[in-house]
Amino acid sequence: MSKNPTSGVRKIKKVEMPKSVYIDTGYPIPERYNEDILVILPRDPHWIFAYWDISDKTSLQLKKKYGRDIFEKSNFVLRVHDITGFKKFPGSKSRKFKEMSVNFNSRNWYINVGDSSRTYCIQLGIKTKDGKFMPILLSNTIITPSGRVSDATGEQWMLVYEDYEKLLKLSGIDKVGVGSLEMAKFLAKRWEYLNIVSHGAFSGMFSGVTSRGFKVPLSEIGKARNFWLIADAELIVYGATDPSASLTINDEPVQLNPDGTFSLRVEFPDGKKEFKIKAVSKDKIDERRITITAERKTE
Amino acid sequence: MEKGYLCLVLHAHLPYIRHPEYEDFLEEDWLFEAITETYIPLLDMFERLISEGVDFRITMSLTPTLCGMFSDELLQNRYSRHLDKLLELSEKELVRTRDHRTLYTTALMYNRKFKKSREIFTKYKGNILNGFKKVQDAGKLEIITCCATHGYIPLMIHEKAKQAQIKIAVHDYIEKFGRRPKGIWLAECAYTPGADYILKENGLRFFFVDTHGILYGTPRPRYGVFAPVYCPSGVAAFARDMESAHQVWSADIGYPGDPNYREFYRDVGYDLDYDYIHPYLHSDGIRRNVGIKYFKITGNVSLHAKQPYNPAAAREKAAQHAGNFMFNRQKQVEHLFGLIKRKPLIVSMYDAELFGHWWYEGPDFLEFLFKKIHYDQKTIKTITPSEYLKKHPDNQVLQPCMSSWGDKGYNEYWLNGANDWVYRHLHKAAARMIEITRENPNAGGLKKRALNQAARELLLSQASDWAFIMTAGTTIPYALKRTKDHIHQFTALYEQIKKNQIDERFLSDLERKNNIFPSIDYRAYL
Repeated sequence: MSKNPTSGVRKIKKVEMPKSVYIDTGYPIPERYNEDILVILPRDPHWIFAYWDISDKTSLQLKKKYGRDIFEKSNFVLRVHDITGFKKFPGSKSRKFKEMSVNFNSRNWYINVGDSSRTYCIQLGIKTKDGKFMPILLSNTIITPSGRVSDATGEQWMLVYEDYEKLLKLSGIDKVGVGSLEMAKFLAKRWEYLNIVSHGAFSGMFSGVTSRGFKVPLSEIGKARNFWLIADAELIVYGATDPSASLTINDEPVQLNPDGTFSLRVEFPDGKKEFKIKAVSKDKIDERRITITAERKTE
Repeated sequence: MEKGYLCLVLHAHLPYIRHPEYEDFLEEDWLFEAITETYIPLLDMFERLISEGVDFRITMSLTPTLCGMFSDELLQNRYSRHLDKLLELSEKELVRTRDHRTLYTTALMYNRKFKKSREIFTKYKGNILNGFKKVQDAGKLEIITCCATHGYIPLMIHEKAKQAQIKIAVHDYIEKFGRRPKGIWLAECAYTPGADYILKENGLRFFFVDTHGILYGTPRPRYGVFAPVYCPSGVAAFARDMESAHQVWSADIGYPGDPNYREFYRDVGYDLDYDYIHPYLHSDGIRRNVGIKYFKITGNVSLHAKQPYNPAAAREKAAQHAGNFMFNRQKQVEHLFGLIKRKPLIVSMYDAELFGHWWYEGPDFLEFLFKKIHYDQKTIKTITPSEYLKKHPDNQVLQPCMSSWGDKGYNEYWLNGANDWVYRHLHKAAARMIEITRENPNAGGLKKRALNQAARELLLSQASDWAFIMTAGTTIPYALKRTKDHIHQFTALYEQIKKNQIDERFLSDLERKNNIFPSIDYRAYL
């Protein structure tokens, strides 16, 4: 590289990095709270995040009922209910649901739901060999956000002053101008377009922490916005180890969550994938290895 | 007569970062840099416009955490020390660059600006909030509040936890500004249906959402995003205009990327001789940005190939960009006026720190923009949300959809594999806070102090900043530390309160360290 002729400054001098006094990742927090809990949160119009746990008491009861190895052997499923129109979970009257198998010990999961603007709640339970669903936990209820322009056209208007408000009848309002559908659809398209082209702007410039709300660049522009349409399979590798251990997957270090859990989501195209998971204890004496192999074929 | 309105909104926020337990703390620099590069220049600009008789309107959300830091004596003293150092360095730089014409001009600019910072800081006796308050009282600036600690409302599952974020914020605003806030900036513009009722209970009349918050609302918006809507509660929602956002953020045409503007990443903290710069680095001696930068963006070249910065040329560019921005808003307003037959409202929302900190010439751009709008045209007028609602109390009723202004428009930036583990703890702490409040509705003495501090620890743990940083991947250890420290401290206080065995030394220590909201009332969780 040519030297900058006008620069009155010298190149960066390499300095031996002293050990930073600022590296401190905080006090320990509880790994679990010994409670029966199942919570769902909306991530976007098509994905829900769920986390769960059970108390020691419930765990004991389940072991008594289904055997000591229930958490390793049983088929745990999440039953995702679309309860749109109901105020709360209608129990056995719920007709619209889907199920997915999960590993109980992962303690959290991302669930793909087809439709936006729907009301969901989920149950975690065991599917017995004869196909019976035995519920253990019931979640809170959420509504997923809308992902498109509404079909509803009925307009209502309101007058609000600081101390007074009044609902106006439609007829009270001058209704000239372009129709709401053209307007909203045009703007929505423009918004989506600009969102895509604005991604990655000044990616180098605004990488600081304080640039709140700034859209962080995506490597796959465009694809990301619609990824539930395109990405047809994802693989989640997850597990837990001692929180103080260091963990690698295929020799790449993986950051453990403070409670010792970890998860890695990867795209899963056709072919064979191998995950060599290795945990090493803090004192480097103990080592555990698990290798997971997955294969996908599109016929 | 104007044909439409421009509502400029700057969201001014930093998480509460204050570490009396350390003599010198790295992340406190975020505040100091923002004061020197953004907040003082904005305040200086507002005061100049007022003294020159330029009529303008701007809206700023000064978050309770930021206000808390502005008013904190320890941080004021530390900023003062930081500014003294900068001034000292800029004096040395005048000597060092004296034979180099281009660098010297820039060195002179820094020296002048730092002196100005000192002048303004002293004028307001160390609390620049007093300056913003004056501009608000002059009718040019509308200051709105924000969730108490920038908590992310849609990912809270307890109504009382959401309510406390709003209630405590409003209370804090009244204390600091001597009046009630009329509006709020929901942290990250993250709205979830129903949150508007909490705003209403707290006397707040409006908030902001990203474009799709209204475009995807039910029923369809008659005026798109060019008029606010009323939520079913009667609280107004204003949506972001994407064209004016795009002009600033776009990769092709965005203003801040212009080659003439100052390069953020080429800083003397890295460039200068180690012995010379060492006194201006942190105590660990690691090279970092110190805030004096002599080079311009230049183009798509490596840091070493950057050309010297020319302050006059950069200012000229900012004037051009302001003219371009105004021209585009005029065209937009004229077009929309013909289309919707009502004076359109363009809501342009940005992070305050974009202006000055990231885009160094941003405050100049705004100053030129306000002057041009005042002197050169009649199509658009700047307006605040309160003024607009007074002129147009009639608006469509619409249920905005859950949305945020983060990446992809919903909650994913704050809920993904990098940070989803925090919610289990945040939810548990909120549930416990509600529980101990219910059990002690009229606590006094030590227990009351412990309950108040527990509320502070919970609020601080809820700051959306920590989840944001975990996703962004910068300074992750600090975000982990803050989340875990506050959860740990909350849990300890919870257990002490439950057992009625409060460790006063532990409590006093926390009160001294995490002193946000001095007059907090834990019964916000009742």
